[in-house]
Amino acid sequence: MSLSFGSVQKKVLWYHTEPILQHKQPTKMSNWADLPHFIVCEIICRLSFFDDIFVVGAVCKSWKSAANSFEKPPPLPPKGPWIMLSEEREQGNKESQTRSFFNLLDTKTYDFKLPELVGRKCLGTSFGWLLTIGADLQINLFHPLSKHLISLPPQNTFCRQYTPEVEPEHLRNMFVPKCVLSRSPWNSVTNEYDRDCIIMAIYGEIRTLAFTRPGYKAWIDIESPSRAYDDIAFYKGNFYAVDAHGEVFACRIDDNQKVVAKAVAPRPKGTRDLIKKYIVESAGDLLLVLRVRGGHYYSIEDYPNYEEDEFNNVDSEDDIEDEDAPENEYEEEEEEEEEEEKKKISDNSYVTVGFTVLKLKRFTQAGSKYKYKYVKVDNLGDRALFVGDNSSVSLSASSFNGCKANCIYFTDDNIELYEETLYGGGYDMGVFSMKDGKFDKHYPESFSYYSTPLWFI
Amino acid sequence: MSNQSESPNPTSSSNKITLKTSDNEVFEVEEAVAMKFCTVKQYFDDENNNNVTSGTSTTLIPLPNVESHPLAILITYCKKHLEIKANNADNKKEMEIDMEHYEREFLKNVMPQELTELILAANYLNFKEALDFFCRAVASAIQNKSVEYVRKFFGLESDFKPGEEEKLREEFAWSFEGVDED
Repeated sequence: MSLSFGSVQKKVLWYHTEPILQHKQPTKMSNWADLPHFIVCEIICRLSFFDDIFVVGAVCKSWKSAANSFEKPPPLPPKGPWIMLSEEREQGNKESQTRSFFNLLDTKTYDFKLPELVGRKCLGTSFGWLLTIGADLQINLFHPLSKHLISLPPQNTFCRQYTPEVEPEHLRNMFVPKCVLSRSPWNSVTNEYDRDCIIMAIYGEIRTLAFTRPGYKAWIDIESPSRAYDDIAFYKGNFYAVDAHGEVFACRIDDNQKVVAKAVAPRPKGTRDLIKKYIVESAGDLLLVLRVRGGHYYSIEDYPNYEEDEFNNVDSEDDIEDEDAPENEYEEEEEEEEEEEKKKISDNSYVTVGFTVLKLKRFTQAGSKYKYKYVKVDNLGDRALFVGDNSSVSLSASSFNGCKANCIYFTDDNIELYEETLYGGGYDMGVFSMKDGKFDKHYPESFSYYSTPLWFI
Repeated sequence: MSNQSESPNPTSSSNKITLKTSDNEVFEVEEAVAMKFCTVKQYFDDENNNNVTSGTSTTLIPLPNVESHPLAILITYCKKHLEIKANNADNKKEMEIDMEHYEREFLKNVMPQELTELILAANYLNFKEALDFFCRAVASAIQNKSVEYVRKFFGLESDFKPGEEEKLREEFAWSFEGVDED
């Protein structure tokens, strides 16, 4: 075999299917700034957070031009949690087509030009995506930072429709109250939308379950023994849905046969339907979060004896001991705060007054259809929970994302009662500390009569 | 000078392929290893098609854009990759765990400067798994770090005009928050 060096080089270049490197002689000290653009782009696609794309772009000119070479940058999640404020926050927002985002990391508000979201109802779905529904009843997954958009089957492809027909604006606001993804709809290896992503929603008048995938033509109904679902969580390959009574159902998506949700955990003792339920995976556990509201709509008589340890009787043997009662010297201050709290409750048609967290624990008992029982959780450890008009999320507080450990961050998702308020909904948000049961504010309020402020994570 | 790649699989009697680097070192590798380098595979397949009569002769493939240092590392990585795959043929999860473990150990012995050479070599050879792995390694080194840290880590200097960088930072202020301490 005799091949001259020159012809070989030509051959090798010819066979190369990807862009060819420009460097002729490999140097001992290769320079990072000389990496071909497409490799810097490959690196950018493998970053974990959208924020880091800008860090790469600020390193040097060559990396900047690589970072700017994307038609749309990869749809990565934001590093820290943001609150996407409601559409009516300021006069003129609609005309300027901007939406304001409050960054929990630096506690500043940023305006992003997002004509794609004008007049559309949004839900947080994690991984940096939003589910959006317009009065046109088209449903999209939209990544506001990169502007990637995935069209999902429209509202009229859900099995159960409203009877009689209602205004499209009402459908937009109410038809899909919750949506959860099994994973990011973006595949960073193939750089394409990923059919492995399952999009599960609570929908319709009686709040039942359906799912779809990117590229599907319709939403597929899930058969379940219950209705009036409050929340869904994706946990270890299965979807878990909690209904208004607090009973939990599980299902595994199989595209080839009818999906049926089965009951796995009973109603927790002492809960009421007016207590909003969330279900969330946190540090390997599945948690049920109960949000108790007061205010004149929730006439306080509905729960006359509501106390923090209402659920202690759920599972006494496994209970973690409650922390010691607060010390006496703070009593006076506490009384004042209580007064304020009472005033707040009576002034508003609704306001969050407490949270209870229960853990689903594996438990088998002969004759019982349930696989789990509940154990009260007094401490979330390093975790912070985020609940509201988003897929409920648990984040680690120690990973520099601006949140405090052992807290529940909540936004105002009580859209059914927005009309009952004096200035609009969007005020019932804050941070609940599991340690002392106290409330703090993260953002004052984001008034609106139809658009909810929500976690963008 | 010959750079015999160590410990070939004794059970395998497959053909050897000889690779010659830009600094004129010669590597004799298992066919299975060489075939993971798509550039080599393409060349090899084409040679075979053109040269039906030559039978089992050992092929010498020149790699004018690859030096011996990164090639030796890539061959080691490739062998390990194939070995882990073979050991866990029926268990994808186990394979991923083993691979992750090996990759973590691998990175402990690689300097940031070496990583560029490896990326360029893997790209030239069109060795997809390695390129993906090295890009992931760089991405995770950048994650949650400040611009200054990234420059220092990769030995890069800012070549922006005065004011240009400040403008960038102002425009996307939110993305520069909350990074790890340098």
